[in-house]
Parts: sequence; structure tokens; C-alpha cells
Amino acid sequence: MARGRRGASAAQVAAAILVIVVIAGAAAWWALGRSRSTATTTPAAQSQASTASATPTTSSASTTSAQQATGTNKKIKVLVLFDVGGKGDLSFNDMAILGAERASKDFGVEVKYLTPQSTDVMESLLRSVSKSGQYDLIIGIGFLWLDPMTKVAPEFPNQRYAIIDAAPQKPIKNLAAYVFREQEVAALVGILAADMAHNLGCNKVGAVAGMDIPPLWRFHIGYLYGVKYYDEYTHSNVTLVWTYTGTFTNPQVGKQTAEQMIKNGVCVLYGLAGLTHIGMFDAVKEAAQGGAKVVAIGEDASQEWYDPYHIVLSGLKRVDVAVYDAIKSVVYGNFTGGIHVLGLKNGGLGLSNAEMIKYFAELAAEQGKLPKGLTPDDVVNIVMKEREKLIDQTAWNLVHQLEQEIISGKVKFKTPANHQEYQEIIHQLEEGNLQAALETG
Amino acid sequence: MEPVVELRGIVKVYPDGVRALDGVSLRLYPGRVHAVLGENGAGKTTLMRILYGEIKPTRGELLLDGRPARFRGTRDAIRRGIAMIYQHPRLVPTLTVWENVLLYFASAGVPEGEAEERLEEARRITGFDVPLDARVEDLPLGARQRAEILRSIAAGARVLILDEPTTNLTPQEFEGLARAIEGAKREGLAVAYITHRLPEVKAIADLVTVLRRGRVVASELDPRGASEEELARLMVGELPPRPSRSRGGPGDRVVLSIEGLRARGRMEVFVERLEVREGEVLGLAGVEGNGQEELVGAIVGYTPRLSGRVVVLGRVNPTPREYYRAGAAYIPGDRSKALVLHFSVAENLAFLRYAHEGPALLTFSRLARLYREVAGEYGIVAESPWAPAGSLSGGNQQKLLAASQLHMRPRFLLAVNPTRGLDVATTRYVRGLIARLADEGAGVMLVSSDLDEIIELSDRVAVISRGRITGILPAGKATPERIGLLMGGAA
Amino acid sequence: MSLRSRIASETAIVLATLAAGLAVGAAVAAGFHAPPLRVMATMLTSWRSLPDVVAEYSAMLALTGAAFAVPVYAGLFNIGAEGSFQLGALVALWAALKWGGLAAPIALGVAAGALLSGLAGWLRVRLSVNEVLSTIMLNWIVYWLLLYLVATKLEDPYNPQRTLEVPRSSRLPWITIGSTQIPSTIVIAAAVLAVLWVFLRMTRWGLALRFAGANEWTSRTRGVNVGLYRVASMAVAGLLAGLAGAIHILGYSHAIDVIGGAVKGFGYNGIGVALMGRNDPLAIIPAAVLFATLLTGSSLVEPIYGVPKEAGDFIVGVIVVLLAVPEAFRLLSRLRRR
Repeated sequence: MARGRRGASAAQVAAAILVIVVIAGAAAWWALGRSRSTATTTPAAQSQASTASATPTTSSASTTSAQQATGTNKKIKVLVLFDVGGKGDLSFNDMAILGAERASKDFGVEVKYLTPQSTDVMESLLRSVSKSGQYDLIIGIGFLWLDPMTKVAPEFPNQRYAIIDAAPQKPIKNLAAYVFREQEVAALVGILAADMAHNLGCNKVGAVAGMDIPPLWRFHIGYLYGVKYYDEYTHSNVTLVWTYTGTFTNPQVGKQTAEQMIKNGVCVLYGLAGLTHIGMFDAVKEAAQGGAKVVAIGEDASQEWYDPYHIVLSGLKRVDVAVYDAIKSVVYGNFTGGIHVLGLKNGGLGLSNAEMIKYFAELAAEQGKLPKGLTPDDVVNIVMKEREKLIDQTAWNLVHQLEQEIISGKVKFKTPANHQEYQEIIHQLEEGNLQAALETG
Repeated sequence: MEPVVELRGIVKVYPDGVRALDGVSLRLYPGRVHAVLGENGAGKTTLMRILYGEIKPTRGELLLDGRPARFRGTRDAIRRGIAMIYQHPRLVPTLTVWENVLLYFASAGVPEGEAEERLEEARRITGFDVPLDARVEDLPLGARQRAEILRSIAAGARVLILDEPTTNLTPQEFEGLARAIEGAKREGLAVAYITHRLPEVKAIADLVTVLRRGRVVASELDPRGASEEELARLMVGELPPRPSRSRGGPGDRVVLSIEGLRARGRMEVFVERLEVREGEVLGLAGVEGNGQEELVGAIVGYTPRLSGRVVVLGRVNPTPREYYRAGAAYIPGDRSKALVLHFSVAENLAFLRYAHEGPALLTFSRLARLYREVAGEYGIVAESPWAPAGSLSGGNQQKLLAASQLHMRPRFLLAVNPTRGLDVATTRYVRGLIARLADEGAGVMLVSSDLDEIIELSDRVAVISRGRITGILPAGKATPERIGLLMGGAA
Repeated sequence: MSLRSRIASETAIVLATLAAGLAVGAAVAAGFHAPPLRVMATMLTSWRSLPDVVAEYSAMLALTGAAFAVPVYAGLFNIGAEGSFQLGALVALWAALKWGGLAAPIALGVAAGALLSGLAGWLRVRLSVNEVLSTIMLNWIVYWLLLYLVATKLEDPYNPQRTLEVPRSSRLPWITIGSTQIPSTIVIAAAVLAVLWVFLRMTRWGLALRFAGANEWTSRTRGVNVGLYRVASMAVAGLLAGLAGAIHILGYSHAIDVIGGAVKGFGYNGIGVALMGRNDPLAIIPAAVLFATLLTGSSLVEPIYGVPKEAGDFIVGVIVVLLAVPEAFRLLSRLRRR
């Protein structure tokens, strides 16, 4: 008897599995098929519209000239290695796609993408794709690729590599490292943040930073420089509260840190901590809904779409420009290893403008992440209206002035070599010595 | 007389090819108790489950009031007036009795409004009184069974199937059950009484049909015209001889002594003084739940002893590990609790044999050797040593349990209900093993709720009631009447 | 049912569910207009392009799978392999940086994992703290500790995105087979699981452990210290996961990145592996290899067929869930009974 029952239950399990299989299969087909159709159409369509003023303009004729430049009829193949987050992070990886798709359109190159399963396999993965020899350029997005690149690149001297937002200790001749002079954009943000604080009736601006590492030192120096620049020209007394959270991945910590800062009278908060500062956005939103006068500033990508009423500005780190430039150098046959510094001058940094805000709002809309009831155009309109309310023309004038000084080379930021030097610069800046942040002569 | 129900030529072959029934016919008459007698595995329960619509026969037909009937499930059967009382009650434990009654009435199609009136009527017929607002899980098994019978009769059953109904009953409760069956007969119910216990057949049945290995070997006998010995032979074929004790008398050495022991489990027990000598069987009689469990646990050492002393083979207040290492063994009363049914036969054997002490490495070949040794000596029938213990028949499971302990060659054995639920042949076999162990000089304490067993094997009989020893009788004076009085608590 | 027919029916179920999972995977691939059979073939042969990744992941998942399986035998659900793995990795890295060599890092990593998990077992036995909750909490404690130390005390000043690297003297050798090289961790893992199998199936203590989990009452009446076995089973689990973490650092990743990616997920994925392997140490090995192959394969299909990584992960998930369903049912019903 017991056997009879056992048989029945096995049959039930089998039936249950079958049902699950059918449902899962159908759901997968439908859901994934649908997401693909949207995912494939938009970046290409958008890439044209989002060609910002700073991006290099190219003619459609460049496709042919590119082919001639490389001297073969073979289509150039590029592999983009994502950061672990992969596609859809609305930040680095999505910007990389933006740049790669634009290059693909302009030069007719073939772009492939790869998301590693984890950080510890990056090296093996990179070695494997290098060995295959089928890519003319392999681009690693983000600093986590630095180690694998420095180890693998010398093993394949004929393979060209690029890495975005990190540079090896010693230059490697087949690795092009694209880094940003973060001070430049942070300084512009600092001016606008100080002005917004002034108009909101407080005198403290803040930053929720990630970890105490060199790129963040550069942001800190630039941001503080901008605030002091504003103070000097407007004779105001805005101060900066800078907090390292120690993490780039924990929104909860970001939220708590921001709440504490708001309690201490900070009214403009700059997010410099990746995922962590998403929590800062939440804290700002809640505080604002509770009647506090606070606003937030995003970084890397244009993040206004997340909460357009309170995120009025973003500092942009144009990963797309870096990727585009890297591909372009291969197409034109002028690829060089070593460090390529991107800044305001060559369009690698900037402040979010209507086009970028709209582009990322549309990306967010595709993923269903846009706040309910808003269209991408609404986001742009809201942000622009908020900016008008919060930022005076004087501040914009200061921004343009500093931007010109940077582009002309009159202002050139120092890059601290170690922690001690970084702290010394911060100290000097706080004393009001703006020159301390700059290269002399 | 016309039968209410007739099963004709029933054949049941299970999907794995086991032929459980092979052309069995059975008639149930109104106002008559028809006993279906057979050993475990003879096909009695399968037959009844077919009658109750729970499983479908491979061949054969079912006639209800002379007309062919087909049940799609038990609900059909219940609506046509067939009720089954399983060996183990099937009430919802977390609901009250009343809620269980209403649930059953719902499937029987009895309107809720009539429920109380009908229950009253059933109470009058059976003489049963069950607290309706008690939660089932708080009731003893006997009371749960009474609740099931009550609700079946109240729902208007015409056919009452009782599957081994005395498994969980005390002798007193059995009398209550007999009276209820009497009442049901008077109301004209047809009763099918499934059992392998011969005295019950003689006490209750009007007719008896004997099954052996899925076939009818005797049909509609008059139980009064047949002796127990004859019925037994019909049921099992050849029987092993009744065990006999040589009764050389106990030796001098005390293997178990208890002094002023107080222990608490679900209830508290206190034993002033109790001794077992080598070569002696001390029976401990009592109605289940009067402290036997606690006393046994305190002897082996897994129930906390509050005060007093237990000395097992010279070891004072042993832990379980010390208990076995001293040379004592223990056959627990509930084999399904003592074995792990989804582990293999060999693993169960090895664990029960070696858990306290034994070889570190138990390779497959060593387990197989142990199994061959034990299976050979104690006649355990299993498909293989690697078959799950749950695939064994109840008798073989019990033999496995007993064999694991006897294989230790213990000098003291504590055995609890060692033959519960076993067929006649296995019962005799297991009792024989215990008798032989005592004859060879070991001391045995036999805790059993089966008085026949106690009287058959014991040199002395102690009786326990409400956690106290109410008397110790030598073999000659231990009659069921005297024991029964002490069980009731009389001094 | 006899042993042979049980194995046969179990194998049939596994093969059938595997086939079903692959069919769903193929359907998903087709949904992306990628050639379904070739996508599945690529996923299932990922060891051809990335033999070292597949080998390393197989080894790690086999060990963390065993770390889930062992306490199940004692009736406990250990979710803490993740924490033990990370702690083992962290301690091994620290010891390697401090003293170098292999003995100290491995011994300390293993001990740290065992202590962490043993603590959860002790809390369960002594204070009746549910081990599922305590292990999850301990996982988080270890995770934050790890992130903190990686970014501070252990940080490589020249490569702030990761910790200092394990010195040469503390690195486990790699094995060369023909032209491919794989980490030796796979050998360690296979040997450990074989020993574990022998322990569980062929020793008195293994038998007692399994009875302690299956039937507490009978174990107590036979003089088995059930509490001790429970704590020990958790400690052994921690030992296995800690060992995995230690040899992962010493034999493969050599450093931990600031987001902890190099040591994340092995413990949790191990649960799936244990369920697929029906909790049997020997069956866990092929389950781990399958899981590792598919996991690695899911990122390979992206550049070749343009199927996003998420779709690959989805296929892995479907196959794992299907294979784990029967065992998960069994364990859940046991959990409910508790």
C-alpha cells in the first residue's frame, strides 16, 4: 500500500514539474522577447539625439575612411567588458553602451558586450577573449578591470586594450587608460551647490562620498575649490561637509549618512558613492516632503530622472566619450597606449544638460524605473524650472568663467600623489588658499 | 438472510506486481458481526479499503443491496452508508470533536441542523460519551476511536468496518467497544471486524472468514464451533510452539535494582524498591500511560532521575551509554519511533547495535555481514540489507529491533511491548527469544500492556498504576483478575 | 523499493528535469532570436573556453554545497556557508600577508570558518536560537567586516580597488593538463568530499550523526549526544566553507576587490548545489560541475549571440530550481514538522 502511495506522489511531482516548465517557458519567452525588442531599438535611436555639444562630431563618410585607414575590408570588432553590474545600471555600463553604439553607427564597427559572472574571474575571462584574437579592441569599464588588464595585456602584445576610469602604475604600450580629472567637474558643481545653498537659506553644502580612494580625493579637492571660489567672488561663507561612507554599494548607509547631514543643517548634498548615494536621494526626498529645504546633486550619469523635483543637477563623467574615443583611435589607426586624461576641454566631463537628462530619463523609462506619471520630457521641464528657481545667473557666470579658465589651461588642478598630500591640499583650501589646489606656474 | 454488501471475486494487483487479493468474496449481513481474520499482510485491510471506495479492485464486483455499485471514492461510500474506522484514528487533530463531526457530516450529506439530535441517538446506541469541545489531539487514542464510531453511526452508517480496533485499547476499553458493537447490531448495522486476535473473534463475532495470503481459506465459519487453535492454524498454517520457560528459578545476582527512584517525564513516578535477578523475567503490568514510559526512561537513563538509585549490572545511575556498555539492552515499545524507517535495514541494525560502542569503520561489507548474521539467526525477511526499514513488515521490523539488542548478548534486557501488533507466529517467536534469554541466565524486565504475555513469560509480576508500584505477585498468584485489580489501583 | 531501483528512478528524475531545464533554456534563447541549440551547447561547454573558471567554481560550489548538506544530516539548515567562506578567505589572506606559507593561512581560515558556524550551532543547541536566522545574521556581520577590512587594513595602496595580493609563497600551485591550466583547488575539493562521504556513510560517527538528525528520540535512548553532534555538524560545515574560502584566496583570486565580488555568492549558490546533489557528497560533485559550467557559460553567450547575461542567468536558475525541487520539497516538509 505504501508503494502505491509513493508512486502517486512521484507522478504528482512529475506533473508539477511539467506545469512549472510550461509556465516558466511561456513566461520567459514572452517577457524576455518583449524586453529585447525595446532594448535593441532605443540606444541606437537615442545615440543621435544625445550627441552632446562636447562629443566629437563625425560625418557619415567616416565609415569608409575608417576602413581605408585600417587597410583591410574586415569589419573592426570591439568587445566591451562591463563592470559586474552589467547592462541597465543607468550609470557607467549604460554610458559605455551609449558611446559604443554611437561609434558603431559612425564607423560601422561591430560591438559585442560581456558581463563577467564575478570579479574573481575577470582575469581568466580577459585572457580567454584575448587568446581568441577575434577583437581589434577590448575595453574594460571601471576600475575593477585594472588588475586583470595590467596582468593580461603584456601577455598579448598584439591585442589592443583600453580601460576606462583607471590607470596602471606604469604605462603599458598596448593598453590605453582613460582617466578623468574629476576636480574640474566637481569644481563647477561646487559653485552651483554653494549658490543653491545660498538661495535655500543655509550655508552648508555636503557630499556623501564612497571610499577614501584617489578618484574621490580629486572630487573632494574640486568640490571644495568650487565652493571656495564661489565664496571668494560673492563674499559669502558657505562651508563644505564631506563624509566618506566607506562603501559604493549600500543605499542604507547612504540614507543614514544623508539624514544625519540634513539634521546638521546641510541643504545641498552631492552624491559621490555609486549605489550608496541612491539612499542619499531617498533621504533628501523624504526630508523635502517633510518640509525641509534640501536638494541633491547626482554624479557620473545624469541622475535627475530619479527624483526631478529634488535632484536638479548631475556632474557627468563621460564614459561614453572615453569609449567612443578609444574605438575611434583604433578605427583611425592612431591607437596609443598610456594614459589619456579626459576633462572639460575634451568633453570627458561636464554638467548635465537637457539632452543628457532626457537620454537617461528615457533609459529609466524603458526599465520602468521612472517615477509614476512622469515622461522624460516632464523630467527635463521640472529640472529646468527648479534650476531657474535655485541658481542665479551670477553663479552660471562664475561657472562659465571657471570653465574657460580650465579649458584655456589657466587653471590646472593638482593631482595628489598620496593621502598626505591630499589632506594638505584640503587643509589649505579650507584656509581659503585656492592656489593650493592648482599646479604652480 | 440477504447481505447488505457483497464483495465478489475481488482481485487486487498493486502496480509493483504484488497480488494482495486473489479472488476474495465476502458478505456482510444486517445485525451480524462478520470477523475477517488473518495475519499481517493477508490482505484484510486492502479488502476493506476496496469496500470503502478508497482503492479500486483490479477485478471483481461490489454489490450493495443486491445491485452492483461503483464507488469513485470514500465520499461515495460514506454517502451510501459505509463507514470505516481505521486502526489509527483519522480525525483532524487540531480541531475539536464537534468540528470533526460536522466535517464528516458534510461529506455524508447530513444537514447540520440534525447533527445534535443524531449524535444523541448514536450516543444511546453505543453508550459512548465523548467530550465534544475537546481538541482531538488532547484526547487519548481510545477516546478518538470512540468519537469516530459515534460520528459514523450518527451519520447513518449501515455498514461499519472496524480495522484492528483494539490496537490502542486497554482491556476495559475493549469491553466498552464490545457493548457498542452489540448496540449497533441491535440497530441492524452490518459490522466487519478486522483482526488477527483470536480471543476477540470468539468474544464478538457471529461469523468469521479467514484470509491467508490474499485468499479465503475458510468462509463464514461459526466461531463458537471452532477452537482458537484451529482458527490459528487456518490463519497461519503451521505455528511455532508456544514458548515455554524452563523456570530454573532466579539466580543470586541482582542485575537491576531500583531504590527510592523518583523520575519525571510526562508524569511523575516513584518506585520504592524493585529488583530483577539473573535468570528471571519480571513482568511489569499496567494500563498504558501509568508511568511505564517514565520508569523505563529512568532505568535506561534518558529520563531525568530526580532522586534515588538505579543500579544496572553494578553501574549506579547510568547514562544511556553506560547502560549499554555495562551489558544491558533495551527494546523500546514503539518500533516506528525506535527505527528510522527511511534508512536501510542494515543501517538501523548497525546503529541500534553499535551506537554506544563498536567499530569505528562500518564499511558496507561489515554492515552486510552483520545483517547476514542477524537475519540468519532471527529469521528476518528483507529484500536486501539496503532496503529501507520501512519496507519491512511490522513483524520483521520488530524482529529487527529485538535482534539488534539480543545480538549484544545482554545480561539484562528491558523489553517494552515486544509483540505489539504482531501476528500469532511472530508473537510466539519473539516471546520465545525472550524466554530463551532468561533461561540462559540473563535478567529480563518485560513491560507490557498485554496480560497474556506477562503471565506467559514472567516469574514475578509487578503492577504499576498512577506512577506507583501497587503490588508484586509471584507467577503462581498472578491471575488476570488479581493483576486487573492492582492495575485499577487497588492495593 | 530496492536500492538499485531507487537509484535508477532518482537518476531518471534528474535526467528528465535536466532535459526540461535545457528545453526551457533553449526556448529562452529562441526568444532572443539566438540559435537555441547552439546557445545551450555553448553554455554546456563553457569549460572549453574557461577551463580554470569552471574548475575553480566547481571546487568552491562543491565545498559550500557540502557545507549545507552536512548539517541537514543532523537536522539543521545552515545558511551560513557564505559567511564562513568569506571569513575563511579573509583570515587566510590576512595570515598569508603576515606569515606567508600555506600551513598557517589554511589552518587559520578553516578554523575561523568552523568557529563561526559552530557558534551558530551552539546558539541553536544551547539557547534555541534558530540557526537559519543566526547564520544569516552572521553572514552579514562577516560581509561588512570584510568590506571594511578590504578597504582599510588590507588595502593595496597602489591598487586601492583591491587588497594586497597573497605572496608567492602562499599560492597553491596550478595543474597543467596538456595546454590548459587549472587551479589545484579542484583536487582538494574532490578529496575532501570523498573523505566526507566515507565519514558519513562508513563510520560509526557518521551513522550517529545521521540518526541524530533523523530521529532525536532514538539517538538519545542510545546514548548519542544529539546536541554535541548538531554543534559538530555546524562546525564541520564551517570548516568546509572556511576551507573553500581559504583555498579560493590562496589558489585562485589571490586578493579581494573592494566590492567583495571575489568571495560573494559561493555560499548561497552552494545551497542550490546541495539540493541538486540530493545532499549526497558524491552527487554534489557533478551538481557543482554542472552549476559552475552553466554559470560560466551564461556570460559566454552574451558576446557570441547577443543574449544578455540576465537571460543566461535565468536559464541557470531554471535548471537549478528544477533539479532542486524534489529535495527542496523533502527538506521543507521536514522543516514544517519541526
